Amino acid sequence: MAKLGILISCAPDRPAFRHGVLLAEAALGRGVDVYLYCLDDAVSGVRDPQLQGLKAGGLKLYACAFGAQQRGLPVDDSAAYAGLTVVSDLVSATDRFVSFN
Amino acid sequence: MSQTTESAPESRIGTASRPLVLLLVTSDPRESHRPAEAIRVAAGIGTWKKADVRVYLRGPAIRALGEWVDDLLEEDNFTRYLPIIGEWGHPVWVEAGAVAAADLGEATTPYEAIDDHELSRRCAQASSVLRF
Repeated sequence: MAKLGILISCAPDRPAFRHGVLLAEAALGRGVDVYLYCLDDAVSGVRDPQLQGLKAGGLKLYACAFGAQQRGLPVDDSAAYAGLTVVSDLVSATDRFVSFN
Repeated sequence: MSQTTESAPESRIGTASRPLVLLLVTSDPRESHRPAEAIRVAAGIGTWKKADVRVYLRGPAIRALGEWVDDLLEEDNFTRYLPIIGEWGHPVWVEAGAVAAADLGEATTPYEAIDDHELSRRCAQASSVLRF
């Protein structure tokens, strides 16, 4: 199965955030294995309903633990909160790695 | 410590076995935290040696290389992580002819000025391009 890595670093009110989520949705719909990492300002969008809904379809959702702590956001089961080693893994282990900033 | 070269293209960037990640930093570190975050991310990805990471600074973002970064947001990221990037053995790329380059003082990290044509070539070689 093809693997797609998506990095989103912009705030959830920015169009690029939605573009990243829609790409994830489209890829899942085509049977792609999708890994999405929320970095920097995108951490505040982890609880976005559309994004959370994609987890039921197989989306592997990660978020920057450091970014969450900096913003006083709870580190809970809304995503797998992790460090940049996960981004490094996604860059090297996926067939394509794209970013929305 | 600093050094510049004029658009001496690397004949081959990255390796066949590792993807090349290019971080384009264009925001102003005096007004935005994103350049500092970009440097943290670059160091954080590259440290694991699973990808080759390059950083390009454009316009006011070049100030991140300066001798004095006290007026930049989250300046600790620059003093903490740029030395790590500098140890990788290749320069940080900066926009050729940028005004900000004249105010660096003694740059803290080796850099190479490249023009937009060369930047586009290197972007095309990258597996992924992240913009901050």
